[in-house]
Amino acid sequence: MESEIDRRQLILPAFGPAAQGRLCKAGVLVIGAGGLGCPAALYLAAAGVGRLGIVDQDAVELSNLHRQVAHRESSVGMHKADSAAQACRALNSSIQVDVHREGFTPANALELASAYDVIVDATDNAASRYLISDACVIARRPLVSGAALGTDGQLTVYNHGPDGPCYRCMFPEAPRPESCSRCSDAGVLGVVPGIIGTLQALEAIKLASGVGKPLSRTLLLADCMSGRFTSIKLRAKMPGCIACGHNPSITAQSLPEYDYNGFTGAPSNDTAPQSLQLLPARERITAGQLHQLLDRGTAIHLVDVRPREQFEIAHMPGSHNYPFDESRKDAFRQHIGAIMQLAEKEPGVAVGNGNNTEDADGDRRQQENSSRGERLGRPVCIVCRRGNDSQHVVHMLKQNGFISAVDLSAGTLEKDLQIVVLFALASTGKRQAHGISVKRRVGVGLAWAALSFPVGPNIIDRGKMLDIDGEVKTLVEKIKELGSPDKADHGRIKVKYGLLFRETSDLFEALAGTMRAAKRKKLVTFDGELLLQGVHDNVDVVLLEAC
Amino acid sequence: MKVAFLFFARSREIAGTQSWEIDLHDGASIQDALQAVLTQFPALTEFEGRCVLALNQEYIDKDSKQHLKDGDEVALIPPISGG
Repeated sequence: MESEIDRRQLILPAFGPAAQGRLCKAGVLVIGAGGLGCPAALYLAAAGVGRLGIVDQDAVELSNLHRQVAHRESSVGMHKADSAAQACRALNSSIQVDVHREGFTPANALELASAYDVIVDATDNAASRYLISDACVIARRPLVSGAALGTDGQLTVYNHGPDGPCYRCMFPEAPRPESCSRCSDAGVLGVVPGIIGTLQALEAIKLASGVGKPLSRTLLLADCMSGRFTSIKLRAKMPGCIACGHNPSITAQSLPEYDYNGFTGAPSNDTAPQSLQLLPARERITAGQLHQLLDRGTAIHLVDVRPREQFEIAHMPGSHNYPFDESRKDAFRQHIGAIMQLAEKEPGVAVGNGNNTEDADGDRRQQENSSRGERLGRPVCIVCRRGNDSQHVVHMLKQNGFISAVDLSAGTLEKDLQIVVLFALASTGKRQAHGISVKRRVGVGLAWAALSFPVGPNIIDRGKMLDIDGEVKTLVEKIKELGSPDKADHGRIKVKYGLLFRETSDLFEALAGTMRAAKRKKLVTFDGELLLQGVHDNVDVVLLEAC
Repeated sequence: MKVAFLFFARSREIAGTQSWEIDLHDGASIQDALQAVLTQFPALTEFEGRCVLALNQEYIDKDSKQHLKDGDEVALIPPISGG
């Protein structure tokens, strides 16, 4: 099926019609239509691979788009496999594109792998990587394995040639769950999976067309921040490997029953880690309780233990940043003293769930506690992103005898506060609801929304964001005041007021009614040029993202 | 003799540096070098047995008793699984 599209590939001396012919007859399965899979699938489609399978069970989210380049803003909510297949078909209508929306599972792994000639692992987690490798060994398929995180990339071809190792030969023991940062937590520079995914397409094309020397027994390491590309010569197959060794225990019969999540200690998707239960409930507070405390004017220190980059995106006014990394607890010990000193500047109240005592009680408790050698100071609320690291920090503080620390149980991902504040603002417009001035309420609400919004560095000016000032009317009135946004500049629009949020659905629901009542379709944001990010059924919504 | 450790991906973040040089006695083995790096960066123990080790850009078994020579480079390469 050689076409005009493929002509420059055909005349390439190293490629030619025979190789193109093999490519056109070959089937390549791309598992994962994310940061790696999107560029891989697009290049495979463009190169004219005969049959392209795309596996993914997730839906497109806005936060994917900076790296998952086959998807569009308009495909948010769509199956990634469908969205990527659509992009591939649009690029080259002469190829066959199969869509597998059910994901790659122990139940379908062998059937899927056997149905294609080359397998591309473009997944984002360790459990899938072991499963795919095992399936390729059993189905006797070469595996193009790529990975990217932060600014690092890795690439190799497994299970190819007489002595090519499999993933288990290289990593017989699964990484510890804490070693497996996820793009959703650690972030990833979008172009890095783009580079690795593109190289995966190259390796898959070489394997499918039989040209060149595949990257078997070679691990390519890309350290993109320093521009360092290093090749490591890998070992041959491990004779005792449980997948590809002489006497494998992972077989066509046993694979469907193998507990991959149990083996890696992590679920096979890039979702949030499980909630830690280190602290008792009484030592934890919710955003709503914190809000009430601040509302009452309680003097409380906010210590934000997220990485500096996340803190810089947005943080609660007046909070202190002492980054915590679970794998480097020792490094955090230097901050423990600083936090305790901070707290001891002023006597404070004890806070905790159902234990919000008045100052007098706090003083009494302090005296009681002092006699037991425990130190009580101005209370400290530890804030992290998810409410896990904060528990470790509170625990460390308590071990050091400091007991007036609580943590914010759902971290900055607490949605309630944003929604409560923003919805109250939309529906009542009261300036003094719950005793906090509108300015402060808005500040808190937007700050919280911003806290959970992992965007790039060109961050919304917090000064402006917090300064919706004393003139706040109802949101409806605000919306009525908005002029027609000028969309001339390719989706960038100039707007006045707005909301900042990440988890869109709840807020959409809450606001859609208000919007309909106001017979307005545009809901947009504060001063500045913003990027049009998403469109909802009822309401055109602009999400703030780094412009 | 001087031996350099090269850190990749998360091990680089934990060590806080791309590379680290150690002075080892002549005849030191790869095991001696690993011991030294774990003493310097205890948090790297999370990768023990769970990463690829390379000596001068070639895979080396974690239990290897190979002796090192001046100028050798040992790379610590934890798997990354993101995408």
